[in-house]
Amino acid sequence: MDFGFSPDVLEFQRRVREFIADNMRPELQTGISYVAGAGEDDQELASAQAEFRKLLDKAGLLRVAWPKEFGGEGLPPVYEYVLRQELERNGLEPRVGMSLTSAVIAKCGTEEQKDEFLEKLLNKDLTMCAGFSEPRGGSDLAGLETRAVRDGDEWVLNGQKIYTTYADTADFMWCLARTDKDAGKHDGISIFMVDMSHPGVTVRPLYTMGTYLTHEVFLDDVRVPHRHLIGGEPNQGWYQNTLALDLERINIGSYFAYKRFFDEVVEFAKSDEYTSKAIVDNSLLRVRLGELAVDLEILRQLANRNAYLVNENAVSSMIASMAKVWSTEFYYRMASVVMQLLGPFGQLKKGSKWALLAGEAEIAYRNSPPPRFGGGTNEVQRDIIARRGLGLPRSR
Amino acid sequence: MVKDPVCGKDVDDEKIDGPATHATSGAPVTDPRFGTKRYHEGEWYYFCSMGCRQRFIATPARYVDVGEEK
Repeated sequence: MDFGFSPDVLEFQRRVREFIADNMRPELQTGISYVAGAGEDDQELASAQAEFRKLLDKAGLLRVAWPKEFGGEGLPPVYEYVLRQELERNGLEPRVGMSLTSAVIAKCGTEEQKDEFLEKLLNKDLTMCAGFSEPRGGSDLAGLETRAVRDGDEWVLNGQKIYTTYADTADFMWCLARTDKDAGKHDGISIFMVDMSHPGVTVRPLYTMGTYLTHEVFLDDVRVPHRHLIGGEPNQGWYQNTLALDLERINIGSYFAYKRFFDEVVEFAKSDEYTSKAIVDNSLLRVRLGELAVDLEILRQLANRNAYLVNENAVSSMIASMAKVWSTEFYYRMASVVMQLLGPFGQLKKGSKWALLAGEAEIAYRNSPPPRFGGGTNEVQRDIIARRGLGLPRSR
Repeated sequence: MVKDPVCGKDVDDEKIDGPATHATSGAPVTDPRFGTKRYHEGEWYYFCSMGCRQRFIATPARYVDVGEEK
């Protein structure tokens, strides 16, 4: 019985760790997890991360799961999982390598689309936003209503998307639209690369309690060239997206990002500074941190189990959903506990000279609720666990 | 100006559509305080708030003949 990585993966992990140790510039050390929103408004950090990503690529560590014909090594997804973990562990941006967008283009795109987009996506020379959710029902993705109608060499899109993060900065939107209204719910959907600069695209901000800014996007007679219909054939979108979800699923968990924050909290709780402030009683502190330690270990096991199944091409929707639910609810619990432990100090923002833990408690407290409903709400995930895992029937 | 088909208030469709700023891509970014809109059966409907739009989405047939549409 072996719960560990193979020797080859461990060797890759060692190389990544060595690389990070050698290239960790001071500008990258914010003291706050990227997951917690450290980089949202920091241009200096963003450019340091872009430089770091280039060096990572130069060292042959970025394209591990990328197709060989595009300069990758074609290795199994577990390598990308390990790379992401190591970046999270050091508070660095983990969203490197293959994304859902690039995975679909690599698997299903036309040769022209691969040439036009893949390299730019990997280098982040081209940025994306995801046009999935719509106001009528974000959790019912197949029920989307945005229409695309063919007009010569173009498609005309009308409709709207909601909760579109990065719509204000993205170059393109990965837009799911209905191309056959008479086909079955899942059969009439196509994916378009919608240039956000095209006439008819309008962005409406939706402000949130956290550092996440999300948006509505209106598409009013937006003309998209046929060459930007993914795969070149309409009505394949649902299946194209599902193919790539396997790779996306491996990234569920963010264990190391949360462990980094948890370890910092524990170290702080042991310090004289904490004792001198005597924010909460020691016995309460021990109980709360002990509970979180148990929860964190469960997250590690679930995330690794999920990654193992994805890597073995034996994806389990139930395990992936369990990892998503546990991960996001753990983060929410941890943020609440840390706020309780730090008392009024926890409310001080990043940048305040009195802030403890670099202000991460305050950011985490505001940013930890949204992941529970982003990427498929936890209610939907529990429904998946019940139906696909436990075999319970759908509602009538 | 058009009428919100749910609450009947006058809403300024030009302001709902009009750019307050621009995204990095150049796309117009609206000021959300003026309201929002909804594409339904080939037409755009304008609302004073997301609450009104949500009610419209739940039962559009109740409102489509009442409101003034663009």
